[in-house]
Amino acid sequence: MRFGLNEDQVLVRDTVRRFLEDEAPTTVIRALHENPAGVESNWWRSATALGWALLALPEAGGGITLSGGLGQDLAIVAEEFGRAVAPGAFLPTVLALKALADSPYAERFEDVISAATVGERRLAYAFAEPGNCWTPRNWQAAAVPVNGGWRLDGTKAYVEAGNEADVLVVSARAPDGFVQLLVPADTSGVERHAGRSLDFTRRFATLRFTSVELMQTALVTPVEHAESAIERQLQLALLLQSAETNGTVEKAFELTVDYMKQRYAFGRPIASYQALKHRLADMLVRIHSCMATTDAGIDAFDQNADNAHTLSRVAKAFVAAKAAAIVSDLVQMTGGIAVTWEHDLHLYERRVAVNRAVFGTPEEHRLQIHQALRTA
Amino acid sequence: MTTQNLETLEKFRLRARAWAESHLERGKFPAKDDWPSQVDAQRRIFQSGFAGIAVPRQYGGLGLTLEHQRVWAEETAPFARPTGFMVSLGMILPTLLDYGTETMKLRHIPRMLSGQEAWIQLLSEPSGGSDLAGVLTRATRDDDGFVINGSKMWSSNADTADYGLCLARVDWDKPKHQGLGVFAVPLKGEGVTIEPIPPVQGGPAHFFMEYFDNVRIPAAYRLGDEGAGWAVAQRLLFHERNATAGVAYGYGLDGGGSSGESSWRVNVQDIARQTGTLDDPVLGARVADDHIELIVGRQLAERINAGLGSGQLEGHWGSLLKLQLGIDTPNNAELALALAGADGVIWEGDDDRAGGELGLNWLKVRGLSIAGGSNEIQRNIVSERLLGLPREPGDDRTVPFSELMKRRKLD
Ligand SMILES: Cc1cc2nc3c(=O)[nH]c(=O)nc-3n(C[C@H](O)[C@H](O)[C@H](O)COP(=O)(O)OP(=O)(O)OC[C@H]3O[C@@H](n4cnc5c(N)ncnc54)[C@H](O)[C@@H]3O)c2cc1C
Repeated sequence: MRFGLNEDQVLVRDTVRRFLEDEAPTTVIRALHENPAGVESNWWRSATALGWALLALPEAGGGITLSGGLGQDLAIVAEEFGRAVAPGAFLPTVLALKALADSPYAERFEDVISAATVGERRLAYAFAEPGNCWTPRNWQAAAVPVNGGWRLDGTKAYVEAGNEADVLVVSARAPDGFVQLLVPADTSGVERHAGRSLDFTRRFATLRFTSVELMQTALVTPVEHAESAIERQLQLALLLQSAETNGTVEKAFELTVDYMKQRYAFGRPIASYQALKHRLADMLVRIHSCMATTDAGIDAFDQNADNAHTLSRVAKAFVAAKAAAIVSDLVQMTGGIAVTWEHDLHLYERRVAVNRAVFGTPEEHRLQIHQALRTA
Repeated sequence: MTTQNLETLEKFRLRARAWAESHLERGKFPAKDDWPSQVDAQRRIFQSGFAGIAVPRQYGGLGLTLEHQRVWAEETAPFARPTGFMVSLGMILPTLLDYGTETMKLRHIPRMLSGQEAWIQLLSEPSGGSDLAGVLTRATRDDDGFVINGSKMWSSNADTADYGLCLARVDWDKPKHQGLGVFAVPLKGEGVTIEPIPPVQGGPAHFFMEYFDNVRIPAAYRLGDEGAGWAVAQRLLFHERNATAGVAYGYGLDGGGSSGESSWRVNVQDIARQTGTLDDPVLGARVADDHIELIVGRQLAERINAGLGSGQLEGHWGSLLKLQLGIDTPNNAELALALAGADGVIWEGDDDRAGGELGLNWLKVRGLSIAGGSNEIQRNIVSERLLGLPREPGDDRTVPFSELMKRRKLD
């Protein structure tokens, strides 16, 4: 969490935190593990009723801003979702809304947008393709203009809430670049294969599109906007995901440090042993570094700065790698109880592991940074 | 003084910029070798009314704020600043303001600000530096003052220094932390012997050993009251950590927030390009990691500075930054060695320091993670003071120091 939040931001943070503490304690998260959708639609409606989805929209489009920075405001909510390892498709909702709101034809999507911001319709954001393909350059799924409309063919993978969503925002290759299309989930030719993830409540689906016929009005992001729009969405995805991961790690760290102050071995609290204290000190350096790099990336995003591209990759490469290492070492320091089903620490490990992979591993992002250095 | 009388930050900025442009050279002083030029630069800064920006007027300062100090640091960043006075101005001076007697402050702070006097820290001893409260140098009461006997070690810049703040034991029957005093000791006077300690990388010495043989100190040259020695030393270390971490607190030359970048860091990207290793998948990935660490280190320093500036963080956060530098910088030095291969450690000719710059850097880099409180000590501070974890058990804080001494001899 950044320092110097304004009053409105603090209010939103506290409201979301209280809601999630009351409505999504880990007993609820555990129960949702059995739920095929990973979330109840009533729950999602009441969570969305808090109004956070409006933070993803510009004021002119009916949205609200707390600080003037869309990324900064959303990161506050993301961090709280992370602390609670909350259910619900926070990130896909935000990304799909961002794509729709930034569309030159945004007024066409007013109904979908307003239904989504109150949780009445659920959105998914179909981005990656099978084989860990998070890079647009390598996408195969193709949209071809036909008879004044579009025909969509191909496969999108790792689509969060892809099976539960009512509406899909699908990125695809087009004859001269890329486009994003709005595809109602029940359109003929759309095949959905539901899947699970290591996370207790997050569900991911594979979507197959076979000669899916769409009207011209399905066009969200035209070719001439797509490259920069998709890049902005990806930056936001990496940064909000990092903010969420930070929340998860912070909460797991707090729980573990508290436990270590209570747990005795050899006549004293395990938290008094230097072998453990020193690791916790190093972790605190890393945790604050993770927050620092996420917030710096978000500021660059909000200012649409040139280095937002690099800083969003730096954040993902750093945060995702450190987070998994930290939470795993917290398990080590907690002892045997932390490798049981009953102990909550694995809920945090699970969220961190999935966030590590989605939108590309830290290793992939480091490779991008490496490539950039080579050509610099 | 009321705030209305203070020069606005913007006016001050323009004045500082104009002065720096016409009075300072661009770049940096070539380390300490150029001490007379640094003294001269500090004298000119003082004479032109830019020294001691946040220091009260009665002690020769300008009586402005730390915000003005930060502006000065920003405006002078591209120029050669007399950073050799960092210890005097960034660490000792604020400690004198906190604990010095009026006599000392009136006499010495103006001399420090004008470059007439350089001060150093006399804390570590041959018997140990981490367990600072365990010092063996003795201060014996004598008429209206004290007599110092013992030795100090690792004192940076003792060769050019006029005074040192010396931690010494006054009462051996009190527990370790309670029998201490901090004294201002003249280094050019009688009874002081200073010897250089050759550094690991060879070349000129930067730290020294001092022997004190019946050095007399007036009572007014003790900082703080009877028994306050440990509190004074803690305050000095607090100023030290903030100054080295660049936390926006210091009165010193840099005191405007650190870049979060250790000056001991090597530009490994250049080395990787020169050696063709940037294209290697394994080494190249390490260079990318180094690049990420460098960016994140700066971002961390900004975050902690913002937290301290807004008051949302309080206390020993300089230790967190010092630990980050102490972990990152040795990794960077080792990577440089990996990239350079044999050319980093083998060269032609008979001069033992002509080549192998990266190898020599690797030899000395651990100085950074040891000096000013080792990484391990910073980890103790972070875990105990920032996370509130219990100390390792021990009775060294409660038994008389003389008792601890007997145990040392038994081992
Ligand atoms: C470049 C440089 C400049 C310096 N400048 C100055 C100066 O100007 N003035 C000055 O007074 N001193 C100075 N020092 C000294 C420095 O402060 C000490 O070297 C440092 O505090 C460590 O003390 P030591 O070397 O005696 O090691 P020791 O205290 O003997 O420590 C040895 C090892 O034990 C570890 N250790 C000790 N206690 C603990 C503990 N409780 N828990 C875990 N590990 C522990 C240490 O981390 C270290 O790894 C300088 C040192 C260097 C390298």
